[in-house]
Amino acid sequence: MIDTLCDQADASNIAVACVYCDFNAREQSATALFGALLKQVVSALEPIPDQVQKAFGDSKRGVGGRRLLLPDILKMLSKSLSCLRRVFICIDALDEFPAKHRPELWESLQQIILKCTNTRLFLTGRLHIRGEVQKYFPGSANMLRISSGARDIRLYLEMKLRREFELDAMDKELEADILRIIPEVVSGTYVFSQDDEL
Amino acid sequence: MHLLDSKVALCNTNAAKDVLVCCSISTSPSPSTAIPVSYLDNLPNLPENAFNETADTFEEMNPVAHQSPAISITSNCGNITDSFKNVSNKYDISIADEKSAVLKWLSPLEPRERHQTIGMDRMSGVGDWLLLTNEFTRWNQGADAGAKHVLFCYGDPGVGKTYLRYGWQLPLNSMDEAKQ
Repeated sequence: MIDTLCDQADASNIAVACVYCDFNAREQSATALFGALLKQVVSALEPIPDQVQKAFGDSKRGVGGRRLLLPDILKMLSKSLSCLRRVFICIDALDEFPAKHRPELWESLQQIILKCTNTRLFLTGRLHIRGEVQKYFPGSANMLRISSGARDIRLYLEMKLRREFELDAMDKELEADILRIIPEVVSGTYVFSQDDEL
Repeated sequence: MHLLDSKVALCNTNAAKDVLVCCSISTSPSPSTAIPVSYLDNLPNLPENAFNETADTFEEMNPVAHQSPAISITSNCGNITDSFKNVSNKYDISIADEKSAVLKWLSPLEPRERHQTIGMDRMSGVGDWLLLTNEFTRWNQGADAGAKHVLFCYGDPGVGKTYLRYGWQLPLNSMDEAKQ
């Protein structure tokens, strides 16, 4: 997904920024998340926007180097985004982002979309996040259900069979059975991490 | 994150050898910017410990390269040259060093590293169907006014939301058409 958008970005004044939420991350806050997005957008800009440069200069004067606050980050992000023709922001696994911080995250995203209409958000998460997306982006969100289709599973199995099985342990019949039965059974609930146990 | 206006500038500059060294160190996500390691041979004769002394600078530089191979190539070019200068003059802080300092200050996180790890485990072709849906096309190519700005993909744990990967490339002119 992100790679495809990046290929597209090769063409012109387009940027792609992505973050992956993770239960195990040390710091999960809207500030950290938008800081990471801002960093990626700024790294794509040359020269660094004045506003960012100035904030950096100011921070060095503060005792111990002052960190950015969310409102400042959002201001700089909007400003930076408006330098670009189109920006794709991808946030993966929103369900792994702490629930108590999510409202702040949604409101910030709302703000970005409102100010920068050139922005597109690509979000993923489990089903229970769907309601939140609808609440915060009424009428402006497309919903797509992702499941592992039988075709995808077959593709994956074929690759695994080609690469990983010893030749004499496999025969045509067994291979055909694997390719027929497994996609039928696991379609929709396939867990990638189990594939090694096949 | 790839603003590739500067991409073309890669090839013919005098500083080409610095640029090339830089690229081969970073793990570039885009094959078009990956430079063969053999260009390392073009390095000027350096004192044996030159790389060690500049190791910190390399460390700092890499994250930038991860995020924006195209842009950082130009900036890293300065960075490397100036890093050598720094060996003799530690107080000479270049513009490129300044940029990586600013980026580091903006956020310590490195999402691109995660992206690359995931990329290595993925299989191309899987998930192509999503690119062909109306939802994706409208979201990706629709004009800004009245567009649905959000595309939310949801599904059970483990169905592969994170691993959606598409080998299908969008026609380059599609964006321009969308804009008109």
